Amino acid sequence: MPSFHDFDAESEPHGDEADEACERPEASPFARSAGMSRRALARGMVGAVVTSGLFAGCRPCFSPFSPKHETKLNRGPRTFTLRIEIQPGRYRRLEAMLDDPSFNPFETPSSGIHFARLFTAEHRYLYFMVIYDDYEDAITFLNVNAKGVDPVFENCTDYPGASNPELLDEYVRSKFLCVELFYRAYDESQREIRDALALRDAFLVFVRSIEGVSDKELRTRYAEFLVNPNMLNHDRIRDNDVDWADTEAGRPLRLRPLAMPDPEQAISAPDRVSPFTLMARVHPSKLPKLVRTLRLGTFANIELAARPLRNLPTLHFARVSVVDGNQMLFASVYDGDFIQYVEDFSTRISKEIDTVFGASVGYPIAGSADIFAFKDFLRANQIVTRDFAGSYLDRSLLQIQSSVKLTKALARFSKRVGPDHRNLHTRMQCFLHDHQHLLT
Amino acid sequence: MLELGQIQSTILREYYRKDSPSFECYLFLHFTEAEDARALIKRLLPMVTSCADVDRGVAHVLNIGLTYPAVDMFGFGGAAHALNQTDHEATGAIAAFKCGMKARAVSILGDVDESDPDNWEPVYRNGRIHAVVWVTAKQEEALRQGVGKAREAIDAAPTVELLHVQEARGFSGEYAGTEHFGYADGIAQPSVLGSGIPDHPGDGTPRKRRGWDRLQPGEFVLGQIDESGQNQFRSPFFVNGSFLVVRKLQQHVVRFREYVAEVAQRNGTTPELVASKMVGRWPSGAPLVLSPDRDDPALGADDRRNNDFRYDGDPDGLRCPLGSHIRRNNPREDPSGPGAVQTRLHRIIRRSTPYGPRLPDGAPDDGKERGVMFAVINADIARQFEFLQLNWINSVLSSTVLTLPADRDPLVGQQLRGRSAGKFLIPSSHRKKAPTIAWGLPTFVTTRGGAYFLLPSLDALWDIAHGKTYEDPNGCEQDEPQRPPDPLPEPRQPSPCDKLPRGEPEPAPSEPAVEAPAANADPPANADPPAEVTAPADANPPATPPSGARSKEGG
Repeated sequence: MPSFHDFDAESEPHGDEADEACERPEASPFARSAGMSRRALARGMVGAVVTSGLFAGCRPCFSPFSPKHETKLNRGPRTFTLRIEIQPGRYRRLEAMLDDPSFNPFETPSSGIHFARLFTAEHRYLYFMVIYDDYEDAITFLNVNAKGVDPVFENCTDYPGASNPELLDEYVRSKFLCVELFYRAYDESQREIRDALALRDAFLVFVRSIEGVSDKELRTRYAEFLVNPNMLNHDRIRDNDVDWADTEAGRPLRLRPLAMPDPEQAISAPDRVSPFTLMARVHPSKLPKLVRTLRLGTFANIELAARPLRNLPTLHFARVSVVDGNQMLFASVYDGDFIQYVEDFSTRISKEIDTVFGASVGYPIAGSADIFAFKDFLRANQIVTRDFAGSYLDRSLLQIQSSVKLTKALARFSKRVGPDHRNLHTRMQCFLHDHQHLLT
Repeated sequence: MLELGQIQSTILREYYRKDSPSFECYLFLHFTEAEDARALIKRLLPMVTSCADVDRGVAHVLNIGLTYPAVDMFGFGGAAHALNQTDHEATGAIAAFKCGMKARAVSILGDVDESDPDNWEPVYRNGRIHAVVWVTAKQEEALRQGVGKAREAIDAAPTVELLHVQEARGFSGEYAGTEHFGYADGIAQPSVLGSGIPDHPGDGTPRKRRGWDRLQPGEFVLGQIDESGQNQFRSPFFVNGSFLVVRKLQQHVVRFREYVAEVAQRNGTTPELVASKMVGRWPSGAPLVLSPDRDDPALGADDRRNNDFRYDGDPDGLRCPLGSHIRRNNPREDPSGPGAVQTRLHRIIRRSTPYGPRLPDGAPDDGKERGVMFAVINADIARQFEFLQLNWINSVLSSTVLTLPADRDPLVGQQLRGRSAGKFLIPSSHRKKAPTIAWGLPTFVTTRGGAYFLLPSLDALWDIAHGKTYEDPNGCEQDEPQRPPDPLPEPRQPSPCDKLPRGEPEPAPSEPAVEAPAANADPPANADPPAEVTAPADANPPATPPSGARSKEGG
């Protein structure tokens, strides 16, 4: 049996072997697997870059076959958070106003707004968060809701009123709270989503209507379906800049406030989307690391960004800010029941959640894998969201994702197969088969 | 090994299909005076069977369950109340028990329309149930004897009122082990660590590659380690007990058969296939995952094989549809839905016995009521039974595929009506064939009533019978039950009955109450006495401002 000394002797390279190890730096895993030295690998890579520049006619990149496109800003929902100081002595009044169930600051629907929320914290601050498509949409949203918003914001310092967009814009910009991390599960604009949801509803009606019909009847109904106003009109919307919110009266896709808790109505109520807001104190020693991690985009690094459905099918949006350098503000929009939401966190993206929340005081030692302790942590640090409004509160994330996918699939299908297509019946059956998971 | 001599037998025995008793009788009682009720429990105590008794062999089994008003009447409400102060998780568990089923029926269990509590049978609707004496036997004669003895004891207690007697009996002959829709029932029960009975492959939690792990006993027996690795119930009153959910579920057999036949006819398939796709198993119990094309009675009858499957090989639901009853309620390790880590937190032990006469195949509606007496054993009603009902049956699963909230459990879900009625999709595996969609699903199973009970351990029953009290977990001496109620009611805590199934989570339990005590004028509909009536004042220390206080008042 070898002694400790033997082990040491074996593990230490010496003599020629040690010299060789010093001279030759360890090759990279790729080079090792290819049986190349690091220098040879570097030569090859330079060659590849030059070749790709010559042949593909683009700026140098590491792939000769798929040159990178010019980077551009990602489209999709954006967010800002306002943190506004409440005037001294006005806190109670403001709180009472926001708690009043008959008071709704966001009564007028406005396009381009996904979700908006209001809450107070620390007896001093009013927070306003909005998820929008364009910054102008957010300002317009406040502007058209001036009647509801003004009584709330008037309790805050220096508020100029929402009726003047220029002053409002200046005011909003001065109250920004830095959002360190923003996760979104979809990149589509509110209009696109609204149309996609409506189109899927119409498509389900259409599918039901063609069950067992004759070929002639199928062609007629398909032709009728193709003139659906929601069908493939995204380009049209951009071109004409029509506000479709007005033309779609009756569709449940307008900005609506959060229904007040009514246990009697809960199951039958259609709303499925809920806000969650949390404020937790951060360990001072862990703050720099937390900020670094957030800015690197913890959420973006995991597969979540690429395949949100596979990983977290109930989270629409999440964002994290650091407040006053000692507190973390987490706000999310999720589907369904709180317990299910917490379990999704704990079971599906436990590691990432630990990275984000691990710096907080009172976070469970075992991390989010300890579901019960994690749930207690969330409950203990939760902030009541006073007002919440959204454009599709009754639609789950999966519904949105499916609708968007189905819309794209239908666009492709309708280009190839018109009502006069020879094998319309067979092609329709194939289409339904190929996309059956979008209809569940 | 669990203390099987302490645990009432219904908790861990005779829930597997082939062991289950065929004859059941529920005697629902109302207590007026605590002393009389104690005397009754004292008389019944020698008849109560434990798991160890069943292992030794008994002709009939008798178990006693108590609702929260009864527990409170016996002076043990404080045990539950003290637990509230110390443990959040147990708060959730006890909150459901305290509220009772009726208070949570609409908001959490989804009992609307026909199932609305207003349409329940009077005994369940009135909320007067204090206890259930549950007698089961494999022979009718043995049941008669057991019920006779129990009724003698009840008759000897002058102030105890026998509210209702509900009988249920399993079918015999070729229909043995099935329910009214004709499907084998009672398969896929959780296997419990230390229960002392052999388990069947597929009953536990799937391991990473193959094989199954048994569930921790704390999921079904209070005072034991549960799947979170913790013991949520340390009060001796709860140890070795469990929570029992009793529901009377009416099955609309003709509606089911007609609907299934109509869908089958429209889509050129057989009614049996459509119905089996909804269930996830064939009538014999053979799972669709293992036998997708036809029923296999040999497989269905083989307990070693009929539950030994996973959904990994069927991510698209081509064999067992994603929305089918068994896949929703026990997703195992579903690649398109909840994983094993999540599933293991929501398992329940089910016991269901049919009531009402079986309707022969093809027979027209005879107008008689039929269904199952459905009983659930779990340690945390909110996390187990109610979670299933709320999230997996009457809502959209946390799934990567199921998207429409309107689509609910096709078999037992409460379906919406009109335009928003749900549908059920049977995926197609043929390239040129569209999926079969069952549109406008009606509700096949409606609730006729139910209640939540605590099944105390035999020790706890002895303590109740002899008027003993415990020290609460905070170390405060429990007051005598005869102590007059505290004249100053404490501010109303946010009622757990107000819990929204969706929406914001409950605030931290120790959050300062905001409503005036006058709000107590609107108690849960089952008229639970307010907790503060018997709760000792020293068991309720003034709520210290917790970190959660920030939720209202800021940091």
